[in-house]
Amino acid sequence: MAQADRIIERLSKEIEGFKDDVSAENVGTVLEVGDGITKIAGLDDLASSEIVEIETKDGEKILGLALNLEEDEVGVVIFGSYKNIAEGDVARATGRILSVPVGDAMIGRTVDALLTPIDGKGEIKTDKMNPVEKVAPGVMTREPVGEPLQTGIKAIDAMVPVGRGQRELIIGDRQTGKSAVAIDTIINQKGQNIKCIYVAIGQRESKIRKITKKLEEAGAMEYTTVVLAGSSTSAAMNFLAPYSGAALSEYFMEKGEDVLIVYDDLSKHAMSYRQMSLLLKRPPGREAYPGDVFYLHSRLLERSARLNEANGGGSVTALPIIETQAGDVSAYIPTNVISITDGQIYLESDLFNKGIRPAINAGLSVSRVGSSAQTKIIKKLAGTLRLDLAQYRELEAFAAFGSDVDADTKQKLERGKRTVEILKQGQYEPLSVAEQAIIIFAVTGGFADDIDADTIVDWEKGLHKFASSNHGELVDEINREKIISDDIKDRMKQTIEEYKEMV
Amino acid sequence: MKYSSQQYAEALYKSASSIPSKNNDEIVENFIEILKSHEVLYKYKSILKAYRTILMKNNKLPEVIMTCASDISNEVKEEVLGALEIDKKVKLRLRVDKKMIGGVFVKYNNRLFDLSLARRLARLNGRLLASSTK
Repeated sequence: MAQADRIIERLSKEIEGFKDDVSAENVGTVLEVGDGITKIAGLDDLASSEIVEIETKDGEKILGLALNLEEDEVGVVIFGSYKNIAEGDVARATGRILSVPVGDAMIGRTVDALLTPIDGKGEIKTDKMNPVEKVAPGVMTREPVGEPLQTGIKAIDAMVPVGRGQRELIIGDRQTGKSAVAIDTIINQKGQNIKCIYVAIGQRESKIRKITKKLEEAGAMEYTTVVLAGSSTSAAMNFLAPYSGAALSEYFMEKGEDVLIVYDDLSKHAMSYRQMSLLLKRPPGREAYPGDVFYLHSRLLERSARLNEANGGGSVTALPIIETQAGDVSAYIPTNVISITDGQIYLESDLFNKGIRPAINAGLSVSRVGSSAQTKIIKKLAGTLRLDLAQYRELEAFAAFGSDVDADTKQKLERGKRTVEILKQGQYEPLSVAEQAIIIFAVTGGFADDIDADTIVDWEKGLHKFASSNHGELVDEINREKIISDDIKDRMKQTIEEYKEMV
Repeated sequence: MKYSSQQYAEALYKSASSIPSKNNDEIVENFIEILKSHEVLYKYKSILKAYRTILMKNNKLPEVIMTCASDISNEVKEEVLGALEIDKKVKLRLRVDKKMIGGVFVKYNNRLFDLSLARRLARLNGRLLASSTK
């Protein structure tokens, strides 16, 4: 009782001594609203990219982002639905520059552009927030890209290798397999201790549902977060989604972890930004895009980097996707993003329609990081692959005239045909380093010259099964060490010859 | 030459700002005559709307919105305006929101004065919690 009396006495003193001053705050008034943009008068001390809270007459609080600070009004883009906002509603500055929740609890979840969950699996409990807009790591905090990121796709790992911390653009017309390349790469990160983030911008929700289902089946959702701003969400959410994904990736990178982030796709991102800028009455430039559309993507992609050991040694590898129209890579947005990234994987409709999938044009695809981002074994075995393919294409065109060719040319033609066939790969079938090494060794070493080109794909599948069941220790050693030696070569040769005798 | 409602409103605002307020009636009469001569009297509603927006942007809208938990007397209204040093001649719009519990919100141009009971209770709650953890 004595303690209760003491508590009551203390509370009474607090209440008696309580003095309250009148609180006066600067607010704004909604002047007009429409198309996801509101114009607000007042809010004199507002900062750029500050979150603004608008209270409707029903008491609903709607958030927006201040993007246009003009002399006598502020242009605010609204997150979500603006239908309940009316002229005269009160707007308050929150004092917060836009930030999103980040943390390990995001793994395995599907979230919206503000990183709030939309998968129905409950609240995400995290107390850490990262700013959506952040300055990219400086020069001295970075490390050159030197560690490979395996996509599991033979054509890419052999000829256009991607390293951790690199930005490799995936570019092509619609329906050429761009998203498929990205998803296969995510699936191949299983067991590699790499976190994955898939940012879907302006995509069909049915397509994303299919993708998340496939990721669940492959066990990839154990290390993946899906950030979704679908085609039915506002332009503001589409604009924000990649930056929110980048903020989440930076959380893991700063912890010293490796991250893979896919932006699918930045063409729709640019279109959303164009829509917002035109509604905010910003002056349009080329193709009606605002003047800072290059900066829109450069500041996003520069946040993908490899940090040096002093800064944790983490990395963010970015796979941005751009959709071209009729194969035009010289259009405005594609050329912008090509000049920002460290290489591109160019997918062609013609190759796709001919059945060459993934439809990678090795001639136009490039990785500016090059073989520094390649495992030693693949670098050794696939060193001349791109050149061989280029020579094959030249000879193929020549042989199409029907003239007689010498034996050497004929051998090159046959070898080239088989190389093209083995570079084909099924969707959702990424291959390990060992599987890639064995098949490339088999073809470039001439061991598959006597296999019919039309059946070599099935032959390859059988070879992989045979190698893993009968020579498992070789497969494990290659996957573990990723280097080539004479001993490894001899054992691979033995494996292939045993398999050929068996079939 | 055709002028938009916005242009008429801006012209009216500039004229009204540049001369003493006791001449406002003369300004308004002249303005209506001009609208008649231009045969655009039908635009008066949109001109008024644009004029109101200009006043709001320049923090000169002579209007106060007062929100209370229940209806209040004129004496209380005047007392609140006096305490906040707001000219009593402004147009007062009263809103009733029972969820407020008590107190009053006053919005005058782009200033919001929060005199609500809910805010005071929240502050007191914070003080009590802070002192209980000491």
